[in-house]
Amino acid sequence: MGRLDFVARRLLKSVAILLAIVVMNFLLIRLAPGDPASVIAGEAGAADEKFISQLREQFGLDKPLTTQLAIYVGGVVRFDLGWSYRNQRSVADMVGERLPATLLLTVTAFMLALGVGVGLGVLAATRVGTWADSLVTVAALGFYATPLFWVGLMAILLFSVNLGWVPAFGMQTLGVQMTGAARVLDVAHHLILPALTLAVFFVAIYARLTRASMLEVQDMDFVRTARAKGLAPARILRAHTLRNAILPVITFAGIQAGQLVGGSIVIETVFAWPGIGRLAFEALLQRDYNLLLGVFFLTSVMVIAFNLVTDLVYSLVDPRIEVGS
Amino acid sequence: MTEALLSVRGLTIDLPPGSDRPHAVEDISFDLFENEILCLVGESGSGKSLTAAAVMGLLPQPSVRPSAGQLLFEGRNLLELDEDEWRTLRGRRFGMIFQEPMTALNPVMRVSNQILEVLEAHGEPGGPERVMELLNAVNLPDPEHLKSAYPHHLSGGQRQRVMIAIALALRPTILIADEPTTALDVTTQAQILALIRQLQSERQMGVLFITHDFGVVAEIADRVAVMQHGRIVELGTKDQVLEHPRHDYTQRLIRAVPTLDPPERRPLDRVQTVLSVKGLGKTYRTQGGLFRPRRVVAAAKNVTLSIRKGETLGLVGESGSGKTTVGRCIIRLIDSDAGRIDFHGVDLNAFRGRALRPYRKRVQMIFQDPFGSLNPRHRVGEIISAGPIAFGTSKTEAMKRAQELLQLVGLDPTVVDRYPHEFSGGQRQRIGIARALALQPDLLIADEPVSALDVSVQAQVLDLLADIKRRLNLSMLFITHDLRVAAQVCDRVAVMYQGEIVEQGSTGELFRHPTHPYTRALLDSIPGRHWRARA
Repeated sequence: MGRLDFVARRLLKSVAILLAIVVMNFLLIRLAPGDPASVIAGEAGAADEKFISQLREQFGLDKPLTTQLAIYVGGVVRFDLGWSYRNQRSVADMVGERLPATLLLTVTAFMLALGVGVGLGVLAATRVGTWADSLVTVAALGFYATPLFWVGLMAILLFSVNLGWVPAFGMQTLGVQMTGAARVLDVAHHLILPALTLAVFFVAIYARLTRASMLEVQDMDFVRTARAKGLAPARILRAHTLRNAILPVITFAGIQAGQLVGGSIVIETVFAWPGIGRLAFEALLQRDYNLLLGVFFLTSVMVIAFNLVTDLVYSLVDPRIEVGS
Repeated sequence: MTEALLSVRGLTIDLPPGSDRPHAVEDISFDLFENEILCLVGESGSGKSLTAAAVMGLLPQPSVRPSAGQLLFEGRNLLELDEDEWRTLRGRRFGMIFQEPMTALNPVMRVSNQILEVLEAHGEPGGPERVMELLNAVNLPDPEHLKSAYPHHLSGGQRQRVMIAIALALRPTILIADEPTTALDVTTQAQILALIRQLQSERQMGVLFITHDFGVVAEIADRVAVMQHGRIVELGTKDQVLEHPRHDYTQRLIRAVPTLDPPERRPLDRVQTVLSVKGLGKTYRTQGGLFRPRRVVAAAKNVTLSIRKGETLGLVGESGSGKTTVGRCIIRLIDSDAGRIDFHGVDLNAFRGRALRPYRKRVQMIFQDPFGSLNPRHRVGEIISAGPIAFGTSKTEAMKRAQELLQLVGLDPTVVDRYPHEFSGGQRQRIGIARALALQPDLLIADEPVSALDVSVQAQVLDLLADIKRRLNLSMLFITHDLRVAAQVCDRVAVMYQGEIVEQGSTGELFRHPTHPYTRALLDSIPGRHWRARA
């Protein structure tokens, strides 16, 4: 019951946070110069005042800002994310279409980063001061310091262009209709490079964090108790040291979820991955207000959901956190 | 006498280069026999805990390592064992209990599994049934319910019982107890000592018991080894060591233990009252939520006390009894939510913020932790002069005064330019006292001012406090859990239990004729209460 209460409370809070985000995004976006009407008119080569104001009227941009806001928020509350005048489609349809690709990319990258990062962190912590430790530490710092898009471009050059191991862009092989297992394998093949690239930055973070946390826990009293019991080193490492050292890593992973979604925008653009990140990039260039706000809304939902899941997982792995009580 | 279970011969343990001395332990020898409790007693840094760790093969190697001597157990020298051989001994033949019950158990593993683990590691059959037996053997209430409990569900005393269950799970020949009751309240300590004593004699174990507390030694030891600077300076039966100590250091240590016999005090009935607290209350509430009830803890309930000019009132009680809350309410570090705090006839509770400032300098506090309570980035001079400067004294004047104060507390005035980490615990506490005195307060609130100090240092700091109090005619609220200290320091004593003062009276009267059952229980729990340290 306690856990259900906790989720209910958090969901209520999340709704309030989401509304605040929606309002803020709506106002911020209006601060940027240019609007959809001017962009469309400009592209049509007919940027005269009359045409632009006609478009503005059509898009509802002539109304006072507060009215526009009220209309938009009213829509969001009814799960109506508005209409993309640019693409002449419903925003909900567009982002809904792209969401699975982004989820696939970010969740895969997240798992990879956590698994590999924690593994490397443990490796380094159990071999402090050896070459393995130094290698992990230096590599982690290197990847941490390198911009994501650069890692992506270099990975394409090396693994697709030169070695030809994996495809460089897209989510599936174009022009071939595949079904069942063949399709899954094809998508997985396309996923390797973007997911690894997105993960690499976070691997670095989790590896360093795990290493530091392991070293701290190693000196704790209960690890000494475990040794005094005559336990085998592997058992001490798994059941006592790692089990406790992982806790701050999980907390941090939740906080980093937002960055992961942000990073996916860059990766999707570099690898032409058909997700909402790329959609956001395109919408931004076109000043497609509604589409951009729709993408923002969805990413906010994702980040909040990520955090909620992390908190739930945390309460499962740390019995001291009793949610809801 | 029978053959020794364990013989330590000429053991020397090296410290890493750059330490204050080359050896933590130097050429010590002793025997541990079946069915006896050998107390290894000494002050911090004497090497007693490292000796215990060495016997258990748990030295933090390679920085600290045994460099000479032998640990003989069943014909083998333990110092020659490799890690795998050690592992078969630890847990099975040697059990160990540690000081901190709060941190010695894995916080994210059920306690039953932590006991089960030691059985499984040594291939012992029995499983969950054995765990239940063990939980019963250490007198834990409701073992059935405890099976699914995590350490944070348990009190300190209960956790220590779990530790004992783990240490004794495989019926070890030798039990090593490293300050097992130091972190516990006095009533809990009495229970745990009794339990260790009972299990030791049932199982005929040899127990190596590390402690700094001569009261505990008097309570539990068969034989005693006194350690100083890594050497055993005296070794003998309890009676020999406690009643007829030969070595100068042992004599000094025993002299430093405060007696439970309060000295005669001059009556202060006609002197003016400095502080009068009436009906003070403080309740902590956790924020409730939509689906969550708020939790309410009354830390102080209807507390009434008064302190006269030149008087020391002791506020004694166990952890969580509310004594620190009362102290902090009086000095207005926290706001009370009921009652009056009359200081020289003015109710401090009537003031907020700036209006309170004139009174701030007249009530000062001495804190428990000599390490945490001084800002590590400030020089001693800055620490002491900060208060007076805040109240408008010129910097040169305040510094001059700081030097005088350092002299008053027995430190060299030239140390104003040094940082807190350059001082020992006792010296830092002197700095803390100098800081509290810098504003020339009328009332000092001393919150466990000597609890973190070794017994000989504790005696010096208590002497200093008594001397200063007399010279400056200060009033003092002395918060302590240590009834021996209270007996020596306080004119009157108030006993707190669950947020309330249950009994209050002159120290002599209260120690000789306690009326409240809790006061009696508290006095009965003092380790070594029948043993009188000679003055």
